[in-house]
This record gives sequence, C-alpha cells and structure tokens, in this order.
Amino acid sequence: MSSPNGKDWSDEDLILYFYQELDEETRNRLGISLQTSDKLRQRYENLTHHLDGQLTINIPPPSDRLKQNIMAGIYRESLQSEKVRQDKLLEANSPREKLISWKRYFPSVKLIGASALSLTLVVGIFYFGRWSATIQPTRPVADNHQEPPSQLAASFTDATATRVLMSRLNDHLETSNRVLTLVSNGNGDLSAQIDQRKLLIEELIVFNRIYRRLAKNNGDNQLAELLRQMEVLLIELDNISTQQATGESLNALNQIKERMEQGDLLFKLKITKKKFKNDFI
Amino acid sequence: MESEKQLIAQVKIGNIQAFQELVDTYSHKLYSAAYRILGDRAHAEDCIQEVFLKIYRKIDSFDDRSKFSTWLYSITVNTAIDMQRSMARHQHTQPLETSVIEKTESKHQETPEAEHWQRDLSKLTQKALAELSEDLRMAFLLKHFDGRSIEEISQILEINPNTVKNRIFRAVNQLKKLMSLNLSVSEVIPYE
Repeated sequence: MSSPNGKDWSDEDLILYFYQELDEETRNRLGISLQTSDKLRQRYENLTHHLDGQLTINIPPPSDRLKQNIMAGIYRESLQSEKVRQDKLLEANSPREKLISWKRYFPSVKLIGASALSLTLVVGIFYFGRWSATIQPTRPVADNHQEPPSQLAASFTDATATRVLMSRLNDHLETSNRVLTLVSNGNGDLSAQIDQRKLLIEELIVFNRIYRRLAKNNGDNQLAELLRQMEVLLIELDNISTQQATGESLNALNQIKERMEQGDLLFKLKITKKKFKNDFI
Repeated sequence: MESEKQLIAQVKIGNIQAFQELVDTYSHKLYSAAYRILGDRAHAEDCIQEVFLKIYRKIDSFDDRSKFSTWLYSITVNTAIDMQRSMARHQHTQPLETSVIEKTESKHQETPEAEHWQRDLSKLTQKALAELSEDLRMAFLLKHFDGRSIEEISQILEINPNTVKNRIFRAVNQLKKLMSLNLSVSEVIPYE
C-alpha cells in the first residue's frame, strides 16, 4: 500500500497514528514506513511538533474548596430529596390522600354517589310519606319544599360523593356481616329467620354486584374477591329461603355455614370492615 | 479502595461516602475538561459542581454496562456547552486573553523564559481553539487533551465515529493554519 518514500500515507493516517487510533496491522505498516522513509518521518515530526509542541493549554488548579463545595451541594441535595420523600410518605398516609386514592379507584364515583343519594331520597320520601300520612302537617305545604335530587347530586363535589359511596359500602358490609353472622350462629329457626330477611338479602345481592364490579374494574382485587364470595353465599341464602322443605333448608344452610368457615369469610369481612372504617369513614 | 462498579452500586443505594470517593477520583479530570471548554476557572468550578449534582441525581439511570468515565464526560461536556451558550447569550464571558493569562499558573517549576513561552502558547492555543466551530472544538478537545478514544467521543457527542474522525482531521488542519498566523513563520514548521 505504501511506497518507500511514504507518499501514499495521508495526513489523516498520520493523525490517527499519532492518536493511536489505527488498527494494529495499519499501525505496524505505517511504523515500518516511518523507519524507511525520511520524507514521511519529516511529515510526522512536523505533525507531532504542531500537536505536542504548539497546542497546549495551561490549566490553573481549582480552588482548594472545590471538592468541599461539591460535597456541600450533594449533602443539600440529599437532605432535600429525603425531605421530599418523607413529605410524600406523610401525604400518602394522610386520610385525605387515602380518600383521593379511593377516588382513583372509582372514576364513576360521582354517578354512584348521585345514585346512592337519589335512592336514599326516594326511600326517605317513601317513609316520610307513610309517616306524614298519620299526622297533620304543622307547616304550610310550600315550606316543605324539597330540592330536586338531580340538583342536589349536581352540587356534590367529588369528595362528598366519595364519602357517600364509602359510607354506603361500609353499611353494605355491616349488613352483610349481620346476615352471615346469623347463619354462622345458627340459633333458633334459621330457615324462618332467613325467610323474614328475604327482601334484605335480595337488596344486598343487587348492591353487592355493583360494588364488586366497581372494585374489580378499579383494581381492588382483594375487595372484589371478598364481595364475590359473599355474593355466592347471599344468592344461595336467597334461594334457600324460598324452599319449602325445612329439612332441605337446614341441610343447605349447614353447607353454607361450613363453606363460610372454610373460607374464613366472616373473619375476612371483619378485617375489611375495620380497615375500611379506619381508612375512610 | 473499592472497585468503581462497587462504588457506583453504593452510590445508587444512597451511600454519600461512596459518592465522595467518586468526587475524589474524577473532580480534577472533569474540572480540566470543563476549563478547556469554558476557559475560566470560576466558570469551570461552577460547571463541575453542577455536573456532580447531575451525576448524583441521575446515577440510577446509569447503565452498568457502559463505561462510567464516558458517561461522566458526556454530562460534563453537555453542561459546559450549555453554560458557554448561556454565557454567550448574556455576554458575560471574559475575553480569553484576560481570563486565561491572568489566572493561569504553571504546574512545573520552569525558567521564567520557558514559563513565559508556555503561557504565550497557551494563550495562542486558546485563541485558536476559540475560532474553531463548537463541533470541531469539542471533538478535538476530547481527543487531544482528554485522551478519549474515537469510540468514546462518538458516544459522548452522540455522533458517528467517522464523523468524529472527520472533525478531528478538520480541527487539526484549521488549528495548524490558525497557529501559523499567530506564531512567526520561523516558529511554525509545516509538516507537509
């Protein structure tokens, strides 16, 4: 590749040779050429004179405090980040944040809150109607004006709606717990007791389904699983109460009771209720 | 002293003593690199403090398979370039003549004449480097003064290795011409 006078070696080759960036084979060949060619050697010496001899930058030493200043900055940064971390931890554990995290679980919380409120109002109006039918009104009718439910729902903030939902869910868990405890204790005529609570059980099934789907859709698998187990048992209880033969009913009730015990359902329910109360109510 | 990988692992779990060791190892090298770009001691020191803060904040993002020094130079070069651009915008930069000459101290004990000659050369080199475009200057500084390989420079500047080579060739040739203009003809020996 190179002639004895080194004419074939370019300046770029010499620069790469100077900076030791040539591959070994090319480097060896150029090294041999430098030994045999005076002209090439002269070119290379001129290059090294330029790069090594002329290009120089004197660097003043840094101040004695440079490392101290660097580390002071690092300590400040470390303290700040620790403080931010602790603040976040505190915030995350605050009841308000927990409420907000629940709000994330329930994107349709406003709708559910409004529905719950509407239901409460409807039930309230129904009972109020029944109660007021027995007494004389003490005030003019105009004074008994009720704000329409839709307006009330609209005036709800997210936080209020979440609180209503949480409160309703807590009531649901409480009532379900009572019904299941009744089955678990098994005192007296259980079939008759279940039969008396048929409407309540049906209502529990409906609401349980809504809450289970919400929990599942929003990733609270633990709650969704508990509600699923409850739902199965509530449906079976609902069916039992309609059975005619008492012997069969008792047999089925015993099976339900056994499954409840095997799955520690009441215990799980108690823990969830307690956690729920501490965190949200 | 622990190996570099162990040190980095320690820093990643928040060990500040380990970080101190990294500062001891690299602060002077990075300060020199920053000084060559910025041409001013105070600015270079500010730059290095900023660089180590960035390192501390970003250490988790450092991939252990990469070369740590390359990562450090990359942060240093980018921070110094940003500072230089910012200073240029605000016209706060001191002229190289005063900033370099007044503050430069010779490392070695030399005769007054030799020291004077070195300072003159340093001044001329700084002037010549300042006339290069930023692209050529960065590639040349990293190769010539910091001794980074072409592969590393390509990673630091995020360009192709062939582009790095090309920039170095052009920088060397331009510097030769610029230095020739500044030095007397008898002092400059052309190599062609």
